[in-house]
Amino acid sequence: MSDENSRTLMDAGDLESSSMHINLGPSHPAMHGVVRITLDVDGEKVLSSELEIGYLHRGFEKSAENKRYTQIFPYTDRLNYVSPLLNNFGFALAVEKLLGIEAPRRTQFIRVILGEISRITDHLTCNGAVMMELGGFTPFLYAIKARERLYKIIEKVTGARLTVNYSRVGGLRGDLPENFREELLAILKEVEEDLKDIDTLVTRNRIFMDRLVGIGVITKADCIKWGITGPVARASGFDYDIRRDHPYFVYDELDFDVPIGVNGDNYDRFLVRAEEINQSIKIIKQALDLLPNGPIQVSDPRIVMPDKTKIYNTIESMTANFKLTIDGIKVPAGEIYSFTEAGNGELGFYIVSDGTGYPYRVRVRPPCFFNTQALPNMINGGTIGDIVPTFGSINMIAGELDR
Amino acid sequence: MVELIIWTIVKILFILGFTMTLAGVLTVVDRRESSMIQDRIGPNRANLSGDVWDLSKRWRFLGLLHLLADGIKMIFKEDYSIKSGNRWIHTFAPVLAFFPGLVILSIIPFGGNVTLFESSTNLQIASFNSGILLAFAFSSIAVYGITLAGWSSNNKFSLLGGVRATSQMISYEVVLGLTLMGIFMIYGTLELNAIVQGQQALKADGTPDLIFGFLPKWGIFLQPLAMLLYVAAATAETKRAPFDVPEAESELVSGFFTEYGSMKMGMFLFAEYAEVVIFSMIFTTLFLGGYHVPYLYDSGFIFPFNWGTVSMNPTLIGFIQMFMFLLKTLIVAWGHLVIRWTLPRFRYDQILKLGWKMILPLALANIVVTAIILSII
Repeated sequence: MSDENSRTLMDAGDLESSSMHINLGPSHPAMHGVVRITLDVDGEKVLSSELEIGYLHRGFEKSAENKRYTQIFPYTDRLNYVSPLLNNFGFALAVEKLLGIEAPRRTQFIRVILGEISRITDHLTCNGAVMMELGGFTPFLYAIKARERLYKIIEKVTGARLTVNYSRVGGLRGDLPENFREELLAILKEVEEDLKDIDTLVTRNRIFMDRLVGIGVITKADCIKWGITGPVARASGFDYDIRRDHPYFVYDELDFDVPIGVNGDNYDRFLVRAEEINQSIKIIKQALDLLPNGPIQVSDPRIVMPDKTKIYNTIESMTANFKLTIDGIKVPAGEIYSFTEAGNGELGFYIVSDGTGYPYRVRVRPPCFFNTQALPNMINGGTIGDIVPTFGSINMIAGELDR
Repeated sequence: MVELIIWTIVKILFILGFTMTLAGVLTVVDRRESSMIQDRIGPNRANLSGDVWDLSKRWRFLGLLHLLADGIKMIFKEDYSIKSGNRWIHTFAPVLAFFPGLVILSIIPFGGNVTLFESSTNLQIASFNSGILLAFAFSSIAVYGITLAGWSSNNKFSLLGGVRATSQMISYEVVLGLTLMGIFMIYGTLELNAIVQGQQALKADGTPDLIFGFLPKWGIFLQPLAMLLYVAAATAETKRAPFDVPEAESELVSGFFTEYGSMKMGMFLFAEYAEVVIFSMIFTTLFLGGYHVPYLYDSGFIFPFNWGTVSMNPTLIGFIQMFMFLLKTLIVAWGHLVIRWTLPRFRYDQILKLGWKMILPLALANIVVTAIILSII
């Protein structure tokens, strides 16, 4: 009798319960790009999570082995598709290093200017996504509006907003259009206005801060352990920026600060990116002032296509054109690891050449691969609502992640 | 008796028609307004002339035709019913979420006394002593619709959305009642028409009863804190941003209505706007003097500071008051929509914390302070 009574008086804690298994993605509004997170949740609390990547694998590295060096550039556009120019220039730098040449000074400045524009578009997209995932659709559209202005100038230079294919080994595909400086300065002014709008809308907003401060924390030690670079690592206090510490192009001639965070949470990542946008604008303005005149390509006929009129009129140029088209640029045998600061961190290209016009092996070190693999650690123990801003603020770009 | 029935039917048709139309218009206003805030063009494709591309040839009526286009689209979409899960409850849930709210309209006084064809009536469908309690009771029933929708869909995201909605709405039910307690204490009644009358009364000697000699005794002036708390609590109750966690699209796909399509989903969406209208009506009634026009009394205008009086026809006054009520409702509803496009979304547990740990103590403090002041006066 007493047994039965105690059974009827059993409280909810004695009932059998199990955690719920949820598939977040691959088709889920917050999983921009395609990635799947499988979660074990207890109510809203995330007990454990597992990340599954590879849905956007296109075989970039293998494809690159069957392409001539110049042909690889369009593929690099599709790595980090939010800042394609940075990938373009990173790859060009790697091949140039292997060739032992240096691009002309004007080209280097143009690469810095356009690269920083791309960095701004990258950071705007990431911060915009964080804001949108917190329900702030208005600031997101403000960020996209600012990005659109910059895409317009990129389109004017390269002919495309996204699939730019602008860089070449030893130079660029074409020079800057007329009035580039004036137009860019006007656009930067508008972008600064937009940034001010965004700043007043969200940065000190109570709800926004509550959602981000102390969420998705990763410590400096963990950042080094996981190999995280870029804004995510800098937000954790890891003071490392390749542009400053291992200068390439003409970054050593330019004056800029590297913003560092303290807590390594979502809010710090948001602020670091916001400040990097300001620093990029500063860099662009300096580079525009210093921009020299001169050729945009090296003069070595074994690397650079001759002028079109020469191809039609001289036998040497026609032969050079033929050899470059059929055989490609003959890169001396050897290997190189070249790394640049892309939107998400250290973008490395490891190239092995066997002396032919085709790379023997190309390996990409995509920055967000390292950021993303630390994600489960950052979201475990939080709630479902915390996953989205954390995932947004590490800025996973599937094209780069899966290659 | 026949007169009463006819009047009741007319009033029901009028207020229901107004609410439905306004809720429909608000769907377009919401889109249009957000597009203006966000520097977009907004809805402009639906038109009567059939020319999609030439802007000058289009009759677009400010995009209002999208209301029709959306409705037609919703109705003609495939009426999908789920294979697994409880199909009956799944179908019934949107009805349960939509209709109980409309009952609240019956207690809202949308005008004073009007006389038409030598027959006089108060522009309020039903007058209960329990008054506003009926509004609370029926708005809680909507919780069942949401919960059942989430549960019967057999989808984990829907379930989470349903659970979120349940805890959120039940928590804010308590808060909502307590924020309004000060109003009931001041006007000494729960009946809405009596509250409206209390907000613009004449003194015993026939002179207007005003604060500082010029402010009408509206709830917004007597209970400013309660007004803020009520707006927060009511926004949470209508599940609109920044309290829209039950359907947080970036977290739960579409929350409790993930598995809904066609007009069933349309009813959930439309219910949200109907709730906005009803919220605005209650807000107007309790805080903005209901149908009252400042300084307009039963006999006409009596201006403060002895600026004189204007006497008017009582029937005309009745219609002016009705128009005023609708206008106030419209403005409040518009203001309510702006909130959505300015603020980011709370997290689920932060909403509950806000409700229980911040709004509730403040509402209780408001009650205490109101009681002390009332006992002193």
